[in-house]
Amino acid sequence: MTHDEAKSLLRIRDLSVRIPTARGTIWPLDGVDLDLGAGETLGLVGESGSGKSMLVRSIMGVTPAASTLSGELTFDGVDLAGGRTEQARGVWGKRVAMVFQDSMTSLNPVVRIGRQVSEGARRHLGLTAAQARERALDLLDLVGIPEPRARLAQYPHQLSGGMRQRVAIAMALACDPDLLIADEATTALDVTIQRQILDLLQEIQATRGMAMIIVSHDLGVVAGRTDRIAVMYGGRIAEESATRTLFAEARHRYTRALLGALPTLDMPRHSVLPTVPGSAPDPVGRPRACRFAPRCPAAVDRCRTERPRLLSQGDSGHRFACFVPVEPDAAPASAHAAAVAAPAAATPAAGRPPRLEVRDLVCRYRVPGGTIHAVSGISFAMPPGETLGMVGESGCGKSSAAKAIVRLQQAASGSVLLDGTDLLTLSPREMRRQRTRIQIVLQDPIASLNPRKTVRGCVAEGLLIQGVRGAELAAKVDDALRGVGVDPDIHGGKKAYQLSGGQAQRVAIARAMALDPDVLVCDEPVSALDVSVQAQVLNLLERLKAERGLTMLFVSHDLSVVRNISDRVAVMYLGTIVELGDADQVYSAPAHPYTRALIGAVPVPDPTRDHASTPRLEGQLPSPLSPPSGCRFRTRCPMARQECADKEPPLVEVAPGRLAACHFPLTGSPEPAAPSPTARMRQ
Amino acid sequence: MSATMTTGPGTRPAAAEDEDAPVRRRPPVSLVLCSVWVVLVLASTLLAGLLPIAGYDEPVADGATPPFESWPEFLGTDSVGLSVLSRVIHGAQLSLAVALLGTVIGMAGGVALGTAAAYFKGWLATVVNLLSDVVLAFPGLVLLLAMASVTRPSVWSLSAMLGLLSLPSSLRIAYANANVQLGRDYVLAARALGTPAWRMIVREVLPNIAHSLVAFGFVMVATFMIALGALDFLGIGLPPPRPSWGGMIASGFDSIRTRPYLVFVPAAVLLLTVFSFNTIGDRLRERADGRGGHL
Amino acid sequence: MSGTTFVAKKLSHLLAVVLLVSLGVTALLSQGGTVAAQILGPNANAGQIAELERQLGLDRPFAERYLSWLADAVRGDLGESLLTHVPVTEVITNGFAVTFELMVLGLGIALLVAVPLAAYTARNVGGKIDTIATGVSSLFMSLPSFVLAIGLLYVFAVRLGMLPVSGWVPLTQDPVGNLRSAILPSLVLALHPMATFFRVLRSDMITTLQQDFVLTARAKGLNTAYILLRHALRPSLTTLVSLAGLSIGSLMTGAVISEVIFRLPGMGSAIVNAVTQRDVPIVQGVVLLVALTYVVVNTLVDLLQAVIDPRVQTS
Ligand SMILES: Nc1ncnc2c1ncn2[C@@H]1O[C@H](COP(=O)(O)OP(=O)(O)OP(=O)(O)O)[C@@H](O)[C@H]1O
Ligand code: SF4
Ligand code: SF4
Ligand SMILES: [Mg+2]
Repeated sequence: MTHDEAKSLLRIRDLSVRIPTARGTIWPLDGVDLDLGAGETLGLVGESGSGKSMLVRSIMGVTPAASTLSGELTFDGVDLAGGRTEQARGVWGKRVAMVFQDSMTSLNPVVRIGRQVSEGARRHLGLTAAQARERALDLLDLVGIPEPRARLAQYPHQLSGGMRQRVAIAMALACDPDLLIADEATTALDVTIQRQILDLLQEIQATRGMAMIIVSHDLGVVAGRTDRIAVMYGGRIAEESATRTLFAEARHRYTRALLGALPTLDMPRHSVLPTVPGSAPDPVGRPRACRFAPRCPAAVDRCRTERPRLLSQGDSGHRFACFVPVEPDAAPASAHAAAVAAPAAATPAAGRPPRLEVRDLVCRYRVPGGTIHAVSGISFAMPPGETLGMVGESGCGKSSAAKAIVRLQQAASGSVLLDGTDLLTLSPREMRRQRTRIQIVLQDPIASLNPRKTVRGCVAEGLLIQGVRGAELAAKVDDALRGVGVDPDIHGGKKAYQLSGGQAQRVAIARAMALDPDVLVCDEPVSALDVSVQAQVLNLLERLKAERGLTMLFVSHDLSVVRNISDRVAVMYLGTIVELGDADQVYSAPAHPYTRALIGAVPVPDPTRDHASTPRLEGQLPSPLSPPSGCRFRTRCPMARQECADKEPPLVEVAPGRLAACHFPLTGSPEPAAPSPTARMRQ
Repeated sequence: MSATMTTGPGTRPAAAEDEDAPVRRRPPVSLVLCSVWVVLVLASTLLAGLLPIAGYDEPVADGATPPFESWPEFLGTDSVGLSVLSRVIHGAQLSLAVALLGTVIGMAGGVALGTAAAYFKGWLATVVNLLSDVVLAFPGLVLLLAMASVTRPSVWSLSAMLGLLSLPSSLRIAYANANVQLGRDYVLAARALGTPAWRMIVREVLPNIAHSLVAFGFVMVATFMIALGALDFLGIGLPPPRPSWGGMIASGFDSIRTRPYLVFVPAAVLLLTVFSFNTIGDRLRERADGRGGHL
Repeated sequence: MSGTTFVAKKLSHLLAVVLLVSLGVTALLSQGGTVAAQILGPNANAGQIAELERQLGLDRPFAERYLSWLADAVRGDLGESLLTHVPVTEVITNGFAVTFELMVLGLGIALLVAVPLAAYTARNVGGKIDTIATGVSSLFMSLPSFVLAIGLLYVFAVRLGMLPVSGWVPLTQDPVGNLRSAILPSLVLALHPMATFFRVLRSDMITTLQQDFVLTARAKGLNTAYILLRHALRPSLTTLVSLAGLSIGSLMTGAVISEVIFRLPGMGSAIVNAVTQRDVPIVQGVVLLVALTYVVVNTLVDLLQAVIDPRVQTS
């Protein structure tokens, strides 16, 4: 124990939560030990289902009704595991408070903001209505909400996502808590907004000296902002240490694998990512074994028969639960990535006629209150074999564009030329024939498979529509499944909900690939997946692309992923492409101010990086109902001048092969903010 | 709640593997019992002619006898000595036929219109919406009364009328369910494969809403049984001589002070049957709702 | 879509509904020339029937009859009874007070029982009260109103002699007597909606209680009653409110049945009598009134939705 237990604010010993279900008892938490000192910031990371949320919910006393808690859980000496005692109720909501993930759902849609912010204070501090109102005003002001007085009477849906999350933070601060828990509090936000919120949390923590737990699945989010990190896996803590130590010399096999599977902004493009085979463990039961054993390459017999304890390494406060830990001086996991060079990706043949060309594509949605200009005339051309990455914040029109290209979405105007044929003017019958040449993979893999169909049935559907029948059909289906690494004999008869996310996404890719398309459009294909599974799917896409010479349009909000997989990137802002060029160049020397801000906001899994050094993008995305005149970015651009409001900057070549839509493009030396490949955290 | 086991780190007690036994799901007794009852009613109705019971218009006694006094007439006889048992069994024939037929008509129409409106949207959805509001604004029983005032009801006309009256509800259920499904990503994926409209509705959407629709079908049969009972009770249902439960209740109502069993035997049978159809529908719906969870 | 076009759209939709309903019922009732024959009895000859039809205007083309009826209706004249020659409006106003009181009482009882019970059981799913209430509600849903009416009549009036068997005491005459005569009939109306309201609200409440914002409220350390009332109830009311609007139809059905069984002088008895005597104008008038009520109530319900959920206004 490095932590002086006397100083410990939160003390957790052997905490378990069990929930009986029809399939057996599940153990979302299985013997967790943790301490947190006053004023300390802890990062709690792990993939979905690892028990992060259950742990913080236990602390808040809001575990599900069917669950049973056991073990020791005290806050400043008050027992929080013993039910709703008088003392415990004096802690929950008052001395510990929580900010939840999605402010759209975690704020009550029919209760005014003023009441939601202040009701905790009224309950715990006994404020009068007038005092509560004043307090709400102060809090809204503190979290940086403009015109707080007007907000008091508003409802959550009248605010933007970032503003709502600020309200949620104000709400949590209502009683001046000693511990603030942020459970994926920025996951639902865009990177630029995420950056604002994380900075806000850090400022507040610093000025108030409260302790904080930042729960996240994203190692980048916790890297620069925490003192210590605990990694969870299968309801247990796998490893816990000071933040820098964890990134530099993780000892647990799972932590290593997790760090390695993460594509980063500074690894070579098209790297084959080291993957973790398999998927997250079944939460049923509490095996006397290492939870990671089925997926662990280093597992020995002991791992399968004995539960590794979370033991401290010397006096360093570095604890991990692994029988065969990685040697402290072993090469960092990501070195693999560089070593295992990608199979020489078919270099896009410039000069040849483009495979896919998009010209002046426009998409609009009519909604109550006006017209949303989702895509406002974008153009680009992709030579055969190219992967074009398309990035941008939520609502910038990426998905609308992707869907319009494959005609899942009616385009208002423009053309989409596939080897010269305009898809948007084809009759439904002609289009049906072209569908064998252009296919799409969607974001949510399980939702994109018909729950009534078997895996084979899903993959067969496209072929059936094209008239393939009988033995040929069966053979093609099985081939397609094998091609994505799904064994048709084992999984062929399953339904979508019986698959893991990664498997389901493979099946969805098989469904598209069964038609042997030339162009594959991927709309956020890995966003719904855990990091360790994401790497598998990214590698699969790279392989398919190399084997079949696919031309790929890869849409994602994750800049690291896009950089790794793309040859060129297009950056979108509010329905327009603001920059387009070679991926390495765009990332290392952005020409458009928005690109620079976007890249600067990406949370980097590197505790040595000083995230405060890059300029932060203030404000939020303007309403797509009435985009700003001239340059759409001018309301947030630090360099905006009069000209920007008057004239819309065209997308023009600013350097060979580089297009940017800015009157005053950035030129010169590469941005200091973008890390050079040598500035790796795990050197 | 929590038994606080204070143990130091790493000294946890042996894992309690035996606590991991699956929680046994309670067998749906109600579903079994109700299905048995429905099968019993259907079978005895279909096979009424083969059963060793009296005809519904042949007196078996000189006058009224209360239930449980004689065998096989354990349900008693009415004032003219007709067998209550026989009349109860025969009394279900027409109502069941109309209720089932009406359900088929109502569901077929509602599902076709509802799914099509959900898929094509636009003017079709507007028209369908308007028509269903019109039918809803008609007070159902009043309309049936009005119809009975101009024509003598037949099995067909009644079934058609009930089917029509129930159209808004079946249509809305089909529309709402189809709409939810059509918003799902798998429909988008199917469109990307070039799935034509009919194939989308029949092969992608319908299988996903079938559970809810079948469940609703059972509830619809129950509703129709009630409506038909009310019509027969008011004397404007299907004309005699065939007995009906509602008609039996109405004629028993006159002598409710002296011979309440003449009301309560057919009433109990009607209640049980309606209850069974409703319960089966409910259980099926619960199953449909709870499908595909990850827990 | 702006607010005014929204209202205009809504109103035109409602107008269309009322017109189509009246058209439909007129068309239905004009099937066959049976009205005159019915009035004159079985001994009338064809000439007499034709003569009466001419007098009643039944020989004119359907469209003409409908339009003139409609024109009169707009002016508030719904014609008169074919048999008694009492104006239809008078027949309706006489019966309306009774039927209206029954429907209001029925709806009130249903909501008063269903809402608290649903809120309580949603919080305690699987508990004793929940099990009983859910079971009883499925029983109520399966209980035909005429069986229920007879059962209540038998137990309370015949067996226990506690309440009048039949008859109506107007509210203005004797409020207590009025309540005594109205209680059983309005219970008949209430039970079915009560059961459906309970189920719908219970299941919506359960869904609401699973929402993140309830978790947030719990994490703020607020107490359970406060969360149920302030946070969970209002967002759960949407379906219930629409359902209450739609229940006009089933309340009307219940009113017809209980007015017949308890022999009350309401619109329900009036229409049953009119139907058996083929007194078309009365049937037309009552149907029009019911359709109008339905339409008005459901418009109010739409407005109420916007009050309950502020998001409705903007979308
Ligand atoms: N069906 C729709 N109806 C109305 N507006 C829509 C619809 N789909 C998208 N929009 C709006 O169009 C704009 C662009 O949306 P789009 O989904 O293309 O963005 P995106 O870049 O894919 O965002 P995300 O990262 O959140 O997926 C947004 O303002 C969005 O709200
Ligand atoms: S304990 Fe064994 S199975 Fe678990 S991570 Fe360590 S080596 Fe792998
Ligand atoms: S055009 Fe002006 S406002 Fe737009 S990005 Fe360039 S400098 Fe900024
Ligand atoms: Mg998108």
